[in-house]
Amino acid sequence: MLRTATQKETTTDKDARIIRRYTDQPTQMPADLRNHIEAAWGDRPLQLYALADLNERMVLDRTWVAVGPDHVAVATEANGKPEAIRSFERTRVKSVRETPGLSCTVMTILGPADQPALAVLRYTHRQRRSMENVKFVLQEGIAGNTVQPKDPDEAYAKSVAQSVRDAQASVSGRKATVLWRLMGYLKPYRARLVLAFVAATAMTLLMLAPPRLTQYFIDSVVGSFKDGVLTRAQAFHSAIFVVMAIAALAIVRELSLWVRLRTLSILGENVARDLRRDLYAHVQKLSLSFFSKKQTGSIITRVSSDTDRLWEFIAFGFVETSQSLLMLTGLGIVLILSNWSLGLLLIAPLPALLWAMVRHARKQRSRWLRCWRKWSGITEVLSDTIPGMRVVKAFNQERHEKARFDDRNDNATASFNEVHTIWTKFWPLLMLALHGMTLAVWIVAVPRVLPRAGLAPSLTAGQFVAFLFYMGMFFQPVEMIGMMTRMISRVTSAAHRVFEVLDTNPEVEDTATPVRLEPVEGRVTFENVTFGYDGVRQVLKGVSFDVEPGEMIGLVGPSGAGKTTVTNLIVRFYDAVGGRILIDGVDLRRLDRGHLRRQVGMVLQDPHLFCGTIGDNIRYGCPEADVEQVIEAARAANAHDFVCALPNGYDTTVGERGHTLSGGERQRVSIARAILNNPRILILDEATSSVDTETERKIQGALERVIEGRTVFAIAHRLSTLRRATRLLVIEDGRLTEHGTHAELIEQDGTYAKLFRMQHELHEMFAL
Amino acid sequence: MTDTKPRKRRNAQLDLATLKLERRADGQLWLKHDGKGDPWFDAAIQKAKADDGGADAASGGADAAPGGADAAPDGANSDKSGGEKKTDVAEDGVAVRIAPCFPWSRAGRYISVRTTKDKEVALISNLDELADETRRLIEEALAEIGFVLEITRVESITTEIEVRNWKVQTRQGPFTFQTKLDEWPIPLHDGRSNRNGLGDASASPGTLVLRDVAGNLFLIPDPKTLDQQSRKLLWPFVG
Repeated sequence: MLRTATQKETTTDKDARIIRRYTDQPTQMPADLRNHIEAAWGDRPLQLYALADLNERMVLDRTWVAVGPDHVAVATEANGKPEAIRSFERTRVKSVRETPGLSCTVMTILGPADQPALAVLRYTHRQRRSMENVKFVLQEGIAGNTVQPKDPDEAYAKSVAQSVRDAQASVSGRKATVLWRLMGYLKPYRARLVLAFVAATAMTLLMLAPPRLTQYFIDSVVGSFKDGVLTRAQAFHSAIFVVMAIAALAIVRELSLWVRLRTLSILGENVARDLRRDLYAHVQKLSLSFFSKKQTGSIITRVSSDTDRLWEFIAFGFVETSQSLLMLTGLGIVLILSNWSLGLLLIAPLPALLWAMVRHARKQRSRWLRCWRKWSGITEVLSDTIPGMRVVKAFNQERHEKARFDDRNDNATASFNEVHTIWTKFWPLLMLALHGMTLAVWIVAVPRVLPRAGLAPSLTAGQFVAFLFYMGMFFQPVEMIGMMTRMISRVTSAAHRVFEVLDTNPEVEDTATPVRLEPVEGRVTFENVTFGYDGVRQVLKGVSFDVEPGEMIGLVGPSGAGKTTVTNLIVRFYDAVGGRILIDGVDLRRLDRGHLRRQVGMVLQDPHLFCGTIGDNIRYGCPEADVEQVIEAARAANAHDFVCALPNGYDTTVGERGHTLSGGERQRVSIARAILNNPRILILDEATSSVDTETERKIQGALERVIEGRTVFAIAHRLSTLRRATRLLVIEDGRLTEHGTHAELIEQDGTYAKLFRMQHELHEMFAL
Repeated sequence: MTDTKPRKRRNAQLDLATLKLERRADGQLWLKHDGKGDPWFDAAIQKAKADDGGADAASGGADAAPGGADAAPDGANSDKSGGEKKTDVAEDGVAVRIAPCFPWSRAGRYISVRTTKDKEVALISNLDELADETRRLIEEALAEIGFVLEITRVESITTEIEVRNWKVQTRQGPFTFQTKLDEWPIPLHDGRSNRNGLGDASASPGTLVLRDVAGNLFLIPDPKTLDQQSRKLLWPFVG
């Protein structure tokens, strides 16, 4: 809502930028080469391509492989100019073999058996995704399915940039852009920001005044008194004026400091709050795909500590830097104006000092890097052994672990000591240089303060003292600026990570006029649905089925076949790529998402209970439910009895710091939560697979009660849990291969029958 | 699930000198039947064929059966390769791949010969026991899968947002890659304890291995053998 950067770059631009910056390969296939290939194919369009960056001598090189509707081309290029293009028809491709190695994967495109390979391609892991896309399209072609990738350039750039994109929160490559965008968040607080700046500037400028007053006192008051120009009373009068002015200055200065600190701290806190609010609101809006790509920890850091770093920058860093610069300029001007030769004497070595500091910082950086590496060695041992303490003790390896830790501990200490040796030397040396400058000022100034007899001093004692004061003020801003460079790079990283989240668009969005089904009947229809998480490879390859309201459907098949994907599509965590999904005959995409999800209950394998009471957890999806409804749902879920056995009943706190429920108990609470809404569609994804047989029986009892009258999709590996299913859908490799009742499928003697027999035998085996 | 015993016997009977590999016309390594009606080999072929027939059910069953944990790797593997993996077997032999068990710490020893469905048919502890041609083919295959980029010169190492950017010269040509900020080169040979490094590989002492964000491995030779600039840039990462 407070976003200012309007010129957002497209994903493809971003990928192209990553490829340019971080790799040695082109952002897309050279146009010339592409034209040549398409010409060789009789102007058939190129659909997908990838780069093989190693040649047969294992030297980095460029060999492109391109796939068209009927052809495959393998082409070498030099500086974008085609060298050799070899094409063959896709009908000749019989299989594709991929042999992964440590850094080089070999892909062999094979013709009929016992004939030389059609093409052998070698590539580093960076090309792996795009080469796997090529393999996928070819293999689907062999199986008789046509896959038409959308845009070959986009698919290529996305795959190549992926590894960097995953590692880096890339919003915009330039520090300045990110900082500028951060400034956008200051806009609503413009007035207060100006106030803080005025206060800070006043403070800085006021700091320049006391030395001037001292100079006035020494020269005009003390000097005149000594010369007898002023009487003692007159001198005292002036002195009181000076003291009062200094006091007034001090008060005004500290007042401005107070205004500045207070305003900016509060302002920074507000900006951080705004960022956190926007960030969290945005995170809630994002599709599930975002959370599957990012680690939970990294999202949490972004909302908590990254925004905190931004506060630090806005509250202190931003102003400190500008004030340091102002201070330096002000001092420079004052010094030159009051005495140009002495002023130059002080200012001239300044660049040398800054250079020394920068050099020192740079040297220290690589030393700190080394320390950091050694330090991570220590924490590695800790995070390795502390959670595994049982194993350490069981194998009697305490001494080995202690030795390992001591070793790294000593190693790290040595590195830290090295850093200490350097900086402890540097700062006294720098100070010595400063003292040298002071000395130089003394040497130049003394003859001027004490001129040869008969000559007027070209430098008064007061000017000299003022100079000494100013000199002392010189070095703090220099140091500040040195520190700021580090802070700025830390802040930009934090801002980057924050903005990355803000820039991610939710993939699933409601239409402008969403339809509400009142009430939902529960008919679910898949019409030739295809879906893939990454654009090219498909998880579902044309799945069609029609489920009547009130049916219980068992989804069966090997892991990774696409069962959970089917359920994810029903609740619209993702949108289907091809085909349609209909609920009661209405396209899912036209439905109001929130309304739909209220009609769907989900029970997952590992139910997550939130911090709060059991009652709150049951009420999670429907806070307005009354106590009777909660108890009713708990009864239906077989949870009421164990809840009543707890001393605090439904008011028992669960979650991270609360009462620990067993897996089966949590599952039953989650079932109660799922059915409280009285959903028309119920999804059970491996609801009973992580508990023991006894508990499973209890959960099973609960489930049998709650599936009554609802459309149910149940995923289960233990086929016995699906015995109530009206129909079973067998999904293998993204396709619906078998469907029918248990009896029908046994009759067909296909995959299901095989699975069933195997589990049956296993059961008998254990029963013996 | 219960075939650990017969497998042991099979390996004991296999005379490594008679193990014969060939490269088929399409480039596939082929474990060749020597025609003498070796009972071990016949058994292996029969086993491979049986695996093949029950392939789909086995991989499905592995996931479905709660106790079928030992069959699980098959399921996982067929999944990765798009579910098309089948044992490539004929009367005169079986398609195999080579997998080094200790690619770093015991390079060139303990080589597992596996079918394309990832069942072990032989474990070669020492290549010296093999016939010359077979040995050559295995060494060739090992060189291919063990290929890593070897850094010869470091041009620059810059710390950027979330990644460290390396521009290097490798034996294979110039290369730019990125590592995560908390990813450090690992010493191949760690004098203090084998458990910290990758072990006592045949590589010269001081050699380091680095992994980039894409998963490529890079060998960094002992920095002492590199030019001064590379040495200076590598200093924080070594020792």
